[in-house]
Amino acid sequence: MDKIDFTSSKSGSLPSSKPYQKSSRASYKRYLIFTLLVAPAFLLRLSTAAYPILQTIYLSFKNLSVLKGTDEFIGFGNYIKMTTDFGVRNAFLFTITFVVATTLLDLLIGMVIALLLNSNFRGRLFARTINLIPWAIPTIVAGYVFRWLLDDQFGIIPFWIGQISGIHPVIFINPLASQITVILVHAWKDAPFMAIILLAGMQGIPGELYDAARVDGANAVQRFWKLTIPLVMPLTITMGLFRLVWSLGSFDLVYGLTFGGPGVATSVLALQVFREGILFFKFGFASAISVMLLVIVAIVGVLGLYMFRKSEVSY
Amino acid sequence: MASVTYENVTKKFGETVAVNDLNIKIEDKEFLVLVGPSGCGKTTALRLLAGLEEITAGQIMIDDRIVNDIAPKDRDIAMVFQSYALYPHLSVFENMAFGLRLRRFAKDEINRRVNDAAEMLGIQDLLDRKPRQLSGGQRQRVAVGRAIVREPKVFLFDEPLSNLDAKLRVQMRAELTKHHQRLQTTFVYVTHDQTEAMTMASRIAVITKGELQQLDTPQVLYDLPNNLFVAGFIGSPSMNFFPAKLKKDAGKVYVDTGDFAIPIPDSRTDTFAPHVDKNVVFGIRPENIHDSAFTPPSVTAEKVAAKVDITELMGNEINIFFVSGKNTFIGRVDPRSKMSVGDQVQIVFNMDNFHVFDAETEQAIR
Repeated sequence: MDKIDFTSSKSGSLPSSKPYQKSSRASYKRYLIFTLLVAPAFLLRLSTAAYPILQTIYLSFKNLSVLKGTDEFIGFGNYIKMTTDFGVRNAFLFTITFVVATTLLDLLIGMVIALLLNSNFRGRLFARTINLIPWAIPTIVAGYVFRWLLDDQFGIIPFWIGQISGIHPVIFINPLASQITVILVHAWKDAPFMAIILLAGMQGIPGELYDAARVDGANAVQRFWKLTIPLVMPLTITMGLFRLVWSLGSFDLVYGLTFGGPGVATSVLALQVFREGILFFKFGFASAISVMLLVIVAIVGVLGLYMFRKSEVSY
Repeated sequence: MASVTYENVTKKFGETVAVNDLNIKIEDKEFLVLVGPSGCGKTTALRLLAGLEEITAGQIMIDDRIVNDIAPKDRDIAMVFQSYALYPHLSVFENMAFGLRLRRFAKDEINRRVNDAAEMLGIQDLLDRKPRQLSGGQRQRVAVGRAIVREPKVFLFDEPLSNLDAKLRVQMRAELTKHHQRLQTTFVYVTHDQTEAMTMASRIAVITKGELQQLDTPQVLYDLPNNLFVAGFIGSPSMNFFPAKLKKDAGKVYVDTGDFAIPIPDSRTDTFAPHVDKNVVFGIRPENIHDSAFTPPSVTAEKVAAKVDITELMGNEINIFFVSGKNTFIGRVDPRSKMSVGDQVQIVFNMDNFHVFDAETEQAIR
């Protein structure tokens, strides 16, 4: 940013702020104060965000391993190794599946809950409150609780399924079942929050729009598809984007529920970083995985922002 | 093109009665304005007609069809809302075409209707824009256009001008009158602004507290208000009211306010004689109060002493706030008047035009 333009804001210019001019002494002083005031926050951000990122990128080009005692510069060695590493490849594929599936599920279930909570019924406030309980439980706790609930020996859910169907499922030895479980538990936990956000979006739609649509001839289904959906779309996209980014870095649920198992079937990239770095002390390799994760997050973020701008509505 | 009939229509929200036993017969091609203070039930009355609220008791008919249980979309009405209620994600064209598309009109027909309406409203250049890119007046026109393309039997307007600035409001008022003449359709229009009602309506229904006070042409409402509320609501500045008593002395009937007594013209003595000694409210409109130096020659002039409290120069006239004893009142006097603040003056009440209301029932005595 080489120039600060106070005049060309979208919603109209700020009347009192003059554009910064280098020639004037008063403006220079103002600029100096501005710099000094921003500096602490800037330095803090630099030390807590920029430095670790740069350090991680730097480490990703080395084969630093505490156990092996290696610490040499190996160029793209770690990155090449990632393409063939079974754990990373698996984690990469499952991360994509997990992130896409949970985001879609969150949005879908969230939308349904939001629609229900937006309708008029007795005890609506109570329903809205209890809806948020899963979201309020710490993820790691939810992970452990579901591990017990789904445990093949002590878990109540397999017990019930066994009672009803006669087949007693053993979930955590089956890769696909474990993967589905991780996705469903994640949706159970986060869809309610999505619902509250979407509900807020729905309540922001002026009632007269629905009246107008009714007079225009739209039935309830048409009002939903032609009004509600397009009008909550920007919010949905924004939330979907946040959801994607959060899920990409998601670690605690898998850690508590399956610890990536069976094998590495439910391991996500963040867990893989934890394993390689914290468990096996392969900091170089773990850093390379982190960098890949960072790049994916950045791409998704930019894409999401672009889509958000395109679908903006204002009343 | 249709008549609309409210028959003993009542609407309750829980215990609150929003509309109470409303009876109105709106003729075909009429421009009927429902006017009243905010919260009086006029918007509810309109929403009942639109089908956006359910009727508690009574019935509404469009032509001869009872519409109580008919969905809004099947009532053949179109409505313009206070906030315009334009669909923010759709272009102007799509906003206007929305209802037609839902009714599966042919493409050509949609194009024709939207373009015709756009031309009529002067918004042809805006068809590709989104509502947020329009000014208030333009949005207003689009909202009207969205109603026009439907070619409904009845147009409903819910305070459509209240979000516009004063100048634009005057302009849009004239435009709406013009559209009414051109479309030859029944208009039902809700407003709290008596000026809008007076300027546009064929007939006005004055409503307060959910009840119809009077339904008549603007001129009759102005000249012969049925009760105290209508008298005070219609006209700007409002009619002056004086709590008074009717007295009889030597064959003449007087209105005695305690501060001054005014004789009632002989021609109307018979009307008021039976009400002598009754507590009444005496009403006179500001334009019937004159500076004694500029009183028109033919009026039945009665002099009243008063003090000038505030003067408001309007250019074509001066609004003067007078004080006489415990009464304050406004007169619209000739601009040449030399009265200034603090003056003790003799002013003239034109007793050809006055109103007397029963203080208890608030009904006009005439």
